[in-house]
Parts: sequence; structure tokens; C-alpha cells
Amino acid sequence: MSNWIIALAALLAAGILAVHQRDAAASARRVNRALESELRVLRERADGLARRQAGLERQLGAAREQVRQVRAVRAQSVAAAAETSRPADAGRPGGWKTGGPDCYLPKRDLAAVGFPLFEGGRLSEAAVTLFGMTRPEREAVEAAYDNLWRKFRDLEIERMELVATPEEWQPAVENSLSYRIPALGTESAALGEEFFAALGQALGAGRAEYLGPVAGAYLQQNLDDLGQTARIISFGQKRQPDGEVQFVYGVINEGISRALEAIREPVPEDSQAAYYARLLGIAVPIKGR
Amino acid sequence: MTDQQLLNEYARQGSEHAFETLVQRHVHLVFATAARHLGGAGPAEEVTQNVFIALARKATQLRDHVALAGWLHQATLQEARRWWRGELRRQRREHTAAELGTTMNEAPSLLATLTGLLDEGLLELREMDRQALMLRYCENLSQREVAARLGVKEDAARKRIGKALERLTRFFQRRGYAVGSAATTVSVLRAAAQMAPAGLAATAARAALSAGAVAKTGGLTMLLGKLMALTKTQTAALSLLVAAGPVISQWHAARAQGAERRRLTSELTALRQEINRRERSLARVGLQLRYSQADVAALAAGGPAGTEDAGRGPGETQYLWDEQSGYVRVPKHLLSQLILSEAGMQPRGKAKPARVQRPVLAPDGTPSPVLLDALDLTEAERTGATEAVRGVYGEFERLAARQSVITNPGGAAGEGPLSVTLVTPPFPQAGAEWRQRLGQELAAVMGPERAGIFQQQSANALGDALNDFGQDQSEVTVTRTADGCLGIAETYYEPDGSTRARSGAGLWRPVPDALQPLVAGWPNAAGPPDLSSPK
Repeated sequence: MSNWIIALAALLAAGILAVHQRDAAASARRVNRALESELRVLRERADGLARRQAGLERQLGAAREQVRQVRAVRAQSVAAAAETSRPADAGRPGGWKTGGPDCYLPKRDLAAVGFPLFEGGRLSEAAVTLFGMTRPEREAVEAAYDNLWRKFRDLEIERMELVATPEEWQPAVENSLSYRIPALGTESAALGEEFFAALGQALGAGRAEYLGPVAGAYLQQNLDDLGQTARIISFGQKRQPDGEVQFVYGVINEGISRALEAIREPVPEDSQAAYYARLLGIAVPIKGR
Repeated sequence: MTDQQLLNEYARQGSEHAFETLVQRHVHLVFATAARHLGGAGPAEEVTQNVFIALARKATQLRDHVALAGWLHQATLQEARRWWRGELRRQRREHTAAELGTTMNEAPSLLATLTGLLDEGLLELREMDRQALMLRYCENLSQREVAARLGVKEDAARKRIGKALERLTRFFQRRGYAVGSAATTVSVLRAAAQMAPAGLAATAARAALSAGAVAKTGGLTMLLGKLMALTKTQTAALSLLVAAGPVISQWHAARAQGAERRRLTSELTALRQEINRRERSLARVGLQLRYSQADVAALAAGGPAGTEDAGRGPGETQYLWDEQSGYVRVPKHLLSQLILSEAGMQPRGKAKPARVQRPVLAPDGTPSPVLLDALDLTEAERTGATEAVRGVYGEFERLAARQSVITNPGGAAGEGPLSVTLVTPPFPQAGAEWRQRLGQELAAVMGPERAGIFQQQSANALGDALNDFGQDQSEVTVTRTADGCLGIAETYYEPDGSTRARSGAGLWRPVPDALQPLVAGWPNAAGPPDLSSPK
């Protein structure tokens, strides 16, 4: 009899373990299927982007050739455009000239004035004009931001992991795709410091002092403060009281805040919602696309 | 019937008679072999029974086995060894090892010596040769009977027996014994033969049949029977070994899926990074193309080009920074892209405070100093503009106070969540008059150009404060939540049926005067906290 008990106990224990392992394997298979599906979507996107870029580059080449040909005939047009630089006129402290093309803003107000710093990855006209950037200065600032953006996004991508729908969104949000990005801590903070140092180098201490707070606010709002807190990004669907199914975008800053917003109209192209939608292959309407 | 046929009959049909016949045939062989090794009839009987029990249990496996006598011989030797191991353990426990050694030290005769080596010699032979010798000399069958048992002709059986004797004789000679001929070997064989006690065959057959009854039903029951014969440790080990199969299989499956997930994640990471790079690159190329196309258009129109090289639009001037000056020069058209107001840091609970832009007009209508600086207004102009705006604010508030209605005045009393709502109806005609008069007054103060910029900058603030110059119906709901927090929600119902709403903390509009008495006891009833200046 005791042999029977031993055999049954051993088989029972093994059975429990086997069932646990089977469930783990099944769960892993489901996750892998989701990853494979996402991979297919992103591969198609990457191919599409490559084709579009090739097309644009062909068009650019053709346009540049046209310009070159006309310039070769009208070379003085280029010289004329280069002479319309306007310094601030140190001899005139402010003032408003009615009918004139320009006006004056006190430098002390530059840190307060509201304006978009970057648009589509490039400095806005307002930013370039307010801070009197030359072409090399503009390119240097844009390169610094491009470097920050690329490294920050690469860091996010390396660390992000697929997770289940957060409890905060259950059960209202259906068919959701959620990714958790852990706090990026000192690595991303170092990227921010590198960016601000590059700003100072490109524009000098004077302009960097005015532009710094604006740039800091931009990073806080548009790059989630360089990922200083862990976040869970979710896209899903939510059924409205009238039965309509609405696309939703949710962000949970762990331990701090959470927000779930319905996507009723195309989102701005520079927004975080647009970026993560493109990154995860979610078909969210984006302005200008 | 041959041994094979009898065994088949027992294994397939459970024929007890067939098994008993087998036992009768070979009991002497088995007993004699056991007796040679165990030195006593008692142990030999016990071993004999065990051998036939084993035969009964293995009948299904052995039914195609031709040389049954050889199998019985080997089984007997194994059982004898097993018996000796048990006996030695018992005697060690009973401290009779010395007696055993004394018994073993008696000097044997040549015949006895060769008899002791007989089984070893038999095991050296081929199975059919061993079978033939044992049938002929241990079971004392005639050559004809041996031939019938082996299923061969008598002559073949005679030759087989002869060759087997020669080989056994050479075995003894190799061991250094003076065995002159096969006759000596025959004597050894005959001496080794021993009749089993009467009744042993029946006893052994009964014991085997009852023990082997479970073997008649087939493989599973036989397996279970074997399981019962194992020790606890063997049982546990066997069970774990059997159970390990599915566990290992599932573990491998989970491991494979984990490896696949890592591969997919790695590929996704690389692909996402590549897509990011391509999109940035695409944006850059797109912008360069727009500039180039603008240049093409400009050149086609006969104008200047230089957009792409300069990174600016056609005809745009480049405004430079002057470190010596306290001002920056900007084109007037740029003002419409700016918000000429102050910035503040808005608290957000546990999150870092966020930089927010204050309205261009304060709740009481005072214009932002940034707007006034940008328009380069004198003190008199600033005063004039402020008075013009506040004048309109005052007219709105007076009209709103007369026409607004508190829809749920009782909602401010009691415990728990409370709310009161003030509804202000639209008055579009009065609002249109205010708009026109405000524009005229501002133009009179600062000129039409600056007045236009002033109105463009303050449009949002004026719209919120004046219900879009009386076009909208507004509802302001002040709530006190269950945990005592105060919230203000504003909803504007526009003529086209759309709504816009604001709610929560950080509102720039205080609690309406009409609701102040009702919510006087509520926290933060005076209005939202003042925001700090930008750092």
C-alpha cells in the first residue's frame, strides 16, 4: 500500500508541475503570437518608409537639379537673398513703428513668451527668429535635439516590454496593447545634460539662459520628461454609452498619475500619442497623414 | 508438446495443466541446480518455487523462447545468488559468519569440485548446447526424447550432445583439472542430477500459478505486480522517472517559447529603432524637398531663391541676435505665432510641476505685461487698454448677474458630495455691441495695427470671460467631493451646438460671485491658488 501512496504522490506532484509548465508555455505562445503579429506590421511599415524615402530622394534630386540650372543663369538672385540679414539695432531700445515690418521684444520676456520650440523635429520659425539663430546655429541645435531624440527613443525601445492590460483600465478598455517602459533614470538624465550643454555651445550662454527653460518644458511635455518615471503606454478600444467603440490612448506614470483619453480626431504629428502609435503599429489617425 | 507450446498455451489461455506439465518436466533440473549451489534441500526447494513463480510471471514474454531449460537454469542460478545474499545478511546479523566460513573450507573431491564448476561451464556453452546436455543428463531423457524437445532429428540431437560434451570437457581442462575424456564430464553431469522431493512439483506449480495469476491478464497488471515487489526507494525513483517525462517535455516547450520570445523581442527592438531613424530621415528629406520646390517656384516666378541653402522660406529675412541689446527684433507677423503672456509652474500632485502659459488677460481683465511690452505701449496707453477691457468685463458681469440662474441652490447643503450650478444664458446682441465697442476703444488708445494684435492675442481670454462675447450659454458647476476637495467645471454651449469644457484645478476663473455665498464654507472657496512666476 505504501508503494501505491508513494507512486501516487510522485505522480500528483509531477502532474501539478506539468500543468503549471503547460500553462506557462501556452501563455508564452500567446505572447509570441502577438509579437509576431507586431513584427509583421512593422516590417511592412519599414519597407513602406524605405520606398517613400527613395521616392522623395528622387524628387529632391530633380528639384535640386532644376534649381541649379536656373541659378547657373541667375546667380545674382542668391547673392541678393543673402544680404537681407537684420541685426537687432542696438541704437533703438524697443519701440513700435506703425506700418513697419518689425517690432521689438524685451529679452527679459523671452523666457515667458509661449511658442512651439520644435515642429516635426526642426526648430520652429518662432524659435529661430526670436533667438536670432544663423543657419549653422540652427543646424547645431537641431542636431543636438536629433541626437537626444534618437538616443532617448532607442533607450526606450530597448527597455520596453509587452505587458497585460493594466488593472486601472480594466474592464472598460478592450483589445488593448500595452507596453511598460521602466524609469530610465541616470541614462536619460545624462542625455538631457548632453543636450543642454550642446545648446550652450551652439548659442552661447546668453541665449541658452533664455532658451533653457523653454527647452526643459518642451522635453517635459513632449518626451515625458525623458522617462524619469516608469510608464505604461496603452492603446485600446472603449465602448461608449451609445454603443460606439472609441479608440483610446492611456498613459500611467507609475505611482504618480494616470490618464486615458479618447482619440476622437487626428492627433498632432509631434505628440506622444502619434509617436507611440507609429512605433507599435497602431492605426491611429495622425494630422497631416 | 514442446516447452514452447506448453508455455504458449499457459500464457494465452491460462492453461494450468500446461504449466503443471512444464513444472513436472523441469523441476528436477531446477532443484538439482539449486541444490548444487545452496547445499541444502530446504533452500533448494524455496529457490525452486521462486524460479517457477518467475516463469509464471514472465510466461507472456517467454512464450517464444525456444530454450526454456536454459532459461530455467540461468534463473535458478540468479535465484540462488539472491538467496545467498539474503542468507549472508541474515547470518551477519546473527554473527554466524565464522560458521559459514568453516563450512565452506571443507576440502572437496574432484567430482565435487567439477560439480561446483559445472554451472559455470554450462553457462559458457551456447544456449542450444546447454539445453541439450541438461535435457539428456540432468533430466535423464533419451536422445530421441531430447530430439523431440529440441525439434530436431535424433541424429542431430546426438551430434549436438556430443559436441556440447566436448566443449564442457575442454572447459574443465582449461581450468586445470585432469579430465581425460568426455566420460568424466558425463559422470559430473549425472552426479549433478538430483531428483526433486516428491510433491515439490505440485507445490511449486500451485505457488507459481497463484502468484502468476495476475500475469494471465496482461502487461499492465504484470507491471503493477512488479511495482508492488519494489522497495519504497525504488518505487519513488521509478514513479519520478515515469512522471519526469511530461514535466521535462513541458519544461522544454516553455524554454523554447522563452527563447523565441527573446528572439522576437530583439528583432522588434532593432526594427523599431530602424523605423525611427527612417522616419526622421524621411522628415528631413521631405523638408528639403519642400524648400527645393519653393525655390523652383520662386525662380519660376522670377524671384530670388535660396530657401534650401538658408533653411528659410523664400523672401524671409534672417534676424540676428545682438548680445549688446536688451531687445530682440522680430517680424510683426511672428506675433500671431506667440502667446504674449507670462508662464507659471502648475503643481500636479506627485508629478513634477509643469510649465503652463497664463492667459493674456487676468480674470479682472488686466492685460499681461508681456503683451504690453511687445506693443510698446506708454503708461497712458496701458491704462487706456486696461480700462477698455475692464469696462466690457463689468458690463458682462452686471448683465450676467441679472440673467444667470442657480439651477440647484439646495445642492450646497448637507454632507457628502455637493454641487451647485450657475447657468448664464446667451445674449448675442449685447455681446456683439461689446465686441465692436472694445475694438473701437482699443484702436483709439493704441492705433488699429496694435489694437488688432491686442485682440488677436486676447481672443481666448475674452472668449472665456465673456462667453465668447455673449454667443455661448455657460454653466459653471462648483462641486465639493466626498473627500472635501473643491472643483470647478465650466461648460460652454456654442451656437453651432458644440460644447467646450474646462474643469479641475488650476483654473484661472474664480468661483462666480453668485455662488460664493453658497460655497463659503467649502475649502478653497476663494478660488484657485496663485501660481508662482516662471523660474
